[in-house]
Amino acid sequence: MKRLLCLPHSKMQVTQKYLSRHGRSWSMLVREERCVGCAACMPFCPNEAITVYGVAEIDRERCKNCGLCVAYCPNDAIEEG
Amino acid sequence: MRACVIGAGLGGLLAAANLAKEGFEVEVYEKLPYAGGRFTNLDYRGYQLSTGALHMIPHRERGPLGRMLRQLGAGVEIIPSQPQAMFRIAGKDYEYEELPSLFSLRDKLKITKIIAMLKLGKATSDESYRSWLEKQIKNELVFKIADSFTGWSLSLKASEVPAKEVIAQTKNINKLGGPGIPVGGCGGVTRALVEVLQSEGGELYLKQKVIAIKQNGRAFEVVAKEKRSYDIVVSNAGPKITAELAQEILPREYARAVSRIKGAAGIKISVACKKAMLGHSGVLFTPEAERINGINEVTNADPSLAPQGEHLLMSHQRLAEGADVKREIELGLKDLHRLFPEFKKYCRVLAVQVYRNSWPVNRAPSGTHLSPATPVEGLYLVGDAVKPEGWMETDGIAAGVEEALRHIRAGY
Repeated sequence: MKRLLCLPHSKMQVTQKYLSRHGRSWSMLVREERCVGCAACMPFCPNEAITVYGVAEIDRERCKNCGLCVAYCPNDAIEEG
Repeated sequence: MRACVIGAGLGGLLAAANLAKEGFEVEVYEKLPYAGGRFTNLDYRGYQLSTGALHMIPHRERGPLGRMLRQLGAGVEIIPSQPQAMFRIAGKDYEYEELPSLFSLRDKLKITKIIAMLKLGKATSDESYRSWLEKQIKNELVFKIADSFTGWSLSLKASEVPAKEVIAQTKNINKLGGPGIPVGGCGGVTRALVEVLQSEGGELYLKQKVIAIKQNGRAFEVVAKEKRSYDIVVSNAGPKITAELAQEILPREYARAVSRIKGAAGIKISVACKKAMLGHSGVLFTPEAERINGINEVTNADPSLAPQGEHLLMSHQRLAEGADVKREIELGLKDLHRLFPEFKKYCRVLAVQVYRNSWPVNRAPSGTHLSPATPVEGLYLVGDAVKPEGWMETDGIAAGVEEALRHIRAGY
């Protein structure tokens, strides 16, 4: 896992695709220092993967990496993980 | 004349719609995929949550926002809250006029005097509302009532607001009346404003983040996906971000001054209820709650804000700077259970939303009175950091837009 995180971005995306195709979940990452907990992302998630209690948390099992939350976050607090 | 509006929040949309109506060629840039900023609906399982504001307008159809919406021809119906407000004290709900009856004879006289002073408007120094009150009376319940009012409407404690500001606000409440519920919630207003803007030929670009405001002679150059030229720029991005975007043209002292402004923070809890818990469309102030300042149940005015037969209740509490957010939420939830003994039976928490830092309740606390005009001619600010004295919440935003428009008309 640690080695995977060191991969350059492009390779990381390939790895992500590979992993998700093989039933392993990757998910969006919440940057906690930016997330205010406003929950604007929560209703937009088609997979109900987001819960917010002071800060957003993304359920890795449910997240399908669609990236909607990244676009809807007013604080640029969610990134592709 | 070409006008650029940065940010499609309430202030940006109001300014844009007005300018378009006055003949400006208006283009609005919004970085998010939706318009409305902190003033629109979030549809969650049929419940209309909001991105920020409560579905409530402080002075119903009679305040600056109601007036402006009417002038723009935006078809928004605002239902007056009935009653305007109640205060829950020792388990019972009282109207504002009934409050003096809760106190001893001596305090009753003092409170009657305070109410009269609030009506007549007398505070000249810069003292806080709390210390102004302390000069008239020493009674903990009075201070709690004051904190619940300022907490609900401004996300501040009475000790954090100038007395002058509260007195000016109370005058406006006495003159124009209390709140109202816009039909369709915040989102109903936002939708109507976008329609006005577009029918007047204005453009709204979503998912377009502005990265710089520059100047070329007297003309402005706004850099987003591409660079475009405008005669005026109205920024709804907040003073801090605006100063960063326009760092090449704004004086450094101005940027430094606005960077010191600390916004007001708060927590909103939205609750789905199987039956009406308040049963009215006004505000319930909760002075004796640990954290919650007030609650409303907008479905008593507009049932469409929740699935049929259900109700939507929202509580608001001020969030102190540096407080432990999770603990504050916990205390808010405990308050709800205490205020409504049947909470467990009929209610379900839909969302807990915190507003702070880059997405606050207000980008500048009430009483700041930042001018919509910046040191650069042709560059103006609108939004919740630019509220003239005496105007709170969304009516403050509309009053700030009015002031910005006066500056713009004087310049062109």
